[in-house]
Amino acid sequence: MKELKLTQGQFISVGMCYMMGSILHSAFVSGVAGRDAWLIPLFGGLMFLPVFAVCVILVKRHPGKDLFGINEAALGPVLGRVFSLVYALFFLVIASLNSSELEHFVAENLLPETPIVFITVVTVGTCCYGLTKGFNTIARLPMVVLITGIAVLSFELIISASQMDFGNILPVLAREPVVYLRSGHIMSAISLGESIAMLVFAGKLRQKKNGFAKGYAVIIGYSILYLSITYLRETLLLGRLAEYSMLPSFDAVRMINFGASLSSTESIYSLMMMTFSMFRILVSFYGVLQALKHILRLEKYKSLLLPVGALIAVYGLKIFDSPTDSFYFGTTTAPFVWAAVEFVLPLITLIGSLLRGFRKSPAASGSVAEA
Amino acid sequence: MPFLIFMTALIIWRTLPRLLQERKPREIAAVCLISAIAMYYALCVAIRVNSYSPVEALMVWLHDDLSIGYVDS
Repeated sequence: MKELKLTQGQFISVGMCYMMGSILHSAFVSGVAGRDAWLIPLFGGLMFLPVFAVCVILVKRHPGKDLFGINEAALGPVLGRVFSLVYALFFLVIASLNSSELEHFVAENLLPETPIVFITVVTVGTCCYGLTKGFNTIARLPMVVLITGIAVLSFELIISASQMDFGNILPVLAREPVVYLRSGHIMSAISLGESIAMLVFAGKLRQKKNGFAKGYAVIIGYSILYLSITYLRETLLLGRLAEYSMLPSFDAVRMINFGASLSSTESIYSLMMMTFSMFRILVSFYGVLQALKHILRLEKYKSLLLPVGALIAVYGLKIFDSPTDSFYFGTTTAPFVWAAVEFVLPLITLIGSLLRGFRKSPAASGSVAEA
Repeated sequence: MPFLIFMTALIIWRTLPRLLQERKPREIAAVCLISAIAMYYALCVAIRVNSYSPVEALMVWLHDDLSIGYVDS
């Protein structure tokens, strides 16, 4: 297994594909914000800015290290490993949740006769196979997937333009402020916050100087734009129906009817959604493996691949009884739990890093004086 | 149940020989622990035990007992 080295383009395209996979839980925001959902990525982006800054500072203070290396350098071997274990569990939950969402999506919309266990085995089995040779092989794919994805999205946006009703988004910002605060929090913690997984690639970029900061900024900026456009299209096509749908982005595509030959564009869109969700599972899966590799001081993660894959698969089947439960907790309690991991842990790591820096600098200056 | 058997066989077939060859106690312990947890959940799924997963239990505890979270409108 070769050591992972990503070019700037590969890092950005992996990040973009990962973020585009978040569209499977678009109901979390549209169910709360309704017709104003398209503005929520902007509010969420503003709320996410401090976390972004903390992550970038952490990476700059610890060049050449990934998330788990940073934890250990900033907090010491014991607390650093505890933090890494929390991140491992967090990535495991993200992978399982995405696997569960993907299975339900496929079982309910595409293959209703296929047992959900079979879909799980195929999904996670493919991810396991993809990761056997390391992330290097997977990192070559997202650029092609991304270009195809953007082309499909643009095409569907153009052909659905005639069916859009711009009256659906009016009046703008007429709800109570708490609605925007809540949905902004959901957006920043769940859709944008999960981008913390990009820190797993922090020390693995070929471009050392500001490579991570620039790439991460592009990923977040693109995600905000992509989510805004998707929510806007949902509202323009579905109107109030978007608030009650469990999968508004897919239902919006189902509404497209542009002549007899282009009446079933949802099959292309669903393929794209599945591919992006697979990337989300892959990156989270890789995060779990890297965390365990770091905690256990292993050279390779190959022996952990199948057990962790099996755990993601079965946990995905068990994690929530139904997508309704997932939606309920996603809009009420999950943003607080997610925020604790994504906002608080990096902040504590940064404080630890700064304190270590302060403690080191007088010693360093002392040794210089002695010399 | 077939899924459980398939998964058990796959893990044993692919992982165990390599582990025994390398003999790293930490690695063996981690693989055994993760496999055991996976088996437990697979068994829960196979025999349809209606219990909360740790994440769901955490959410229910935070939401119902500690009232952390938004009130569903």
